[in-house]
Order: sequence, then C-alpha cells, then structure tokens
Amino acid sequence: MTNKEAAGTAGFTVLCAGEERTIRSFYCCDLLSHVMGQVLEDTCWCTVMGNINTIAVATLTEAACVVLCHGIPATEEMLRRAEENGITVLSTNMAEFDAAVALAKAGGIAL
Amino acid sequence: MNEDIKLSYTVPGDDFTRAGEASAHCKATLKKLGVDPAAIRRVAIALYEGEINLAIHAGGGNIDVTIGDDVCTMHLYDKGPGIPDIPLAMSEGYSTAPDEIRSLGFGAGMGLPNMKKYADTFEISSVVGEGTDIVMTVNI
Ligand SMILES: Nc1ncnc2c1ncn2[C@@H]1O[C@H](COP(=O)(O)OP(=O)(O)OP(=O)(O)O)[C@@H](O)[C@H]1O
Ligand SMILES: [Mg+2]
Repeated sequence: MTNKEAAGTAGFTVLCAGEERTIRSFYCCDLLSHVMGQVLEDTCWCTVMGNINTIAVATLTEAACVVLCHGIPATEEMLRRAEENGITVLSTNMAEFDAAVALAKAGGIAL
Repeated sequence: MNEDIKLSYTVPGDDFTRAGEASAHCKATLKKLGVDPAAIRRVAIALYEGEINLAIHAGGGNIDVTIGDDVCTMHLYDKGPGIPDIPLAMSEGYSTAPDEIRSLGFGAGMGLPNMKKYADTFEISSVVGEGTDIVMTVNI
C-alpha cells in the first residue's frame, strides 16, 4: 500500500501530502532515539510526537509516512518541515496500535 | 585519490529547530558524491544524535566533518558541563534529559549507544567542567 492509499483509509486525514512511498512495515513509538536505533525503511511510523523533530527522524530513517495518533495536533513548524522534506503526515483519532492495525488491514500488509 | 571535503558546523544550544542542520547538510553532500545509501544513513543518524546532544546537554558546540575517499570522520566537541561517568552515559536507557526535553521525544538514553552502533569507530573523552569530545568514523 502506498502512503497515498493509506491517506484515503477511513479514519485518517492528510496533514501533509509528501512524496509517494510504499508502506512495508509499521512501528509504534514515541521515543526518537528508539526509532533511530531500528533499521526501518518504508515504515509507517505511528506516534504522538507532533513536533519538528519527528520530521527530522522520519527523514533520517526514511519512513514511508508519519501517523499522528490520538488526534494530537501537529505544530505549524512540523508541517512546514514535512512539506520541505517530502514527508507524508496523516492524522487519526485512533491509538498508535489501532492505527497500525487499521492501515495494515486496509493495505493487506502482514503485521 | 580525491581531496578531502571538510565541513564545519556550529550547533546552537537549546534550538531544536536548527539542530539537525549539520546532519541534513552532510547527508545531502554524501548523496551528491554518490555514497552508498546505507552508509549515508549511518552517518546521518549518528550525526543527528550527536547534534541533539550538543544542543540539549552542552549548550551548543561544534562539528567538523571530513569526507575522504573511503571514510567519513565526524568530530563533535563542546565546552559544556562534561560527562562524569562515561560508561554510565554510554549505557542504554541512561539519560539526564529534563522533562521538557522528554516531552519532545528525547531522553530515551539511546543517543550515545546509537552513535556507537552506527559508527565503525567511536571515541569519547570528557572532562567535567571543560567539555566533551567525540570522534567517530563511518566507512563509506
Ligand atoms: N555533549 C554532552 N555533554 C554533556 N553531557 C552529555 C553529552 N552528551 C551526552 N551527555 C550525557 O549522557 C547522557 C546519555 O546521552 P544519550 O544521547 O545516550 O541519551 P539522551 O540524550 O539523554 O537521550 P536520547 O539521545 O535517547 O534522546 C545524557 O543524558 C547526558 O547526561
Ligand atoms: Mg541523546
């Protein structure tokens, strides 16, 4: 499933439409150094961290998209940086794990 | 044998919007040079962790990067408070990050371990009251 298709899944809205990428895995975590310690590529990263550092880490780890969970708002700065870096940011009211499950189901991706 | 490329950065203290500029710039430079993406990623992550530490723990600092034919050397140094117990600071999960920093997603105590993990060589020295010095290399 591409991040674009993920954006069209019920319960998700687009905060920033970045470069099109394919989602191959999911990761739920809020601690940035834990995310950077994993070898993740093409990951859909579900988190509550809605600040500029989230985009820096998503860029470094080459995440397929960021999903901001629990309806937590993104800072303006975060979305500006996401736009510059071509990172897709989605929003949902779901919790991190539920968001990952919903997208995996929609995309037919094994968890 | 090409001439080494030297890049220098100043990392401001407590400005997390700017911390990340060195790693982003270095990453772009390596990309232009056609370096293997996996090596670029290791450089970029190790450097980002180092930059954030300079901003959070040292009130800012400096980074010199040298890109040679087959190795990227990163020297990070600051005049911050120094690290009293380096083995403790290097252990996974140890962090002195204050609450407001933790609320931004930092403070897992994984930064130094990540730097060591992603670098091919990693050396750290520190004097309390004087500062901290890190040299790490990634084969490219
Ligand atoms: N340049 C530095 N100057 C002074 N102290 C430092 C410096 N770098 C690291 N430290 C100390 O070492 C500890 C561990 O650093 P490390 O990067 O592993 O974790 P962290 O920065 O606290 O959290 P994380 O990197 O996971 O967000 C820090 O909490 C801090 O006490
Ligand atoms: Mg750190």
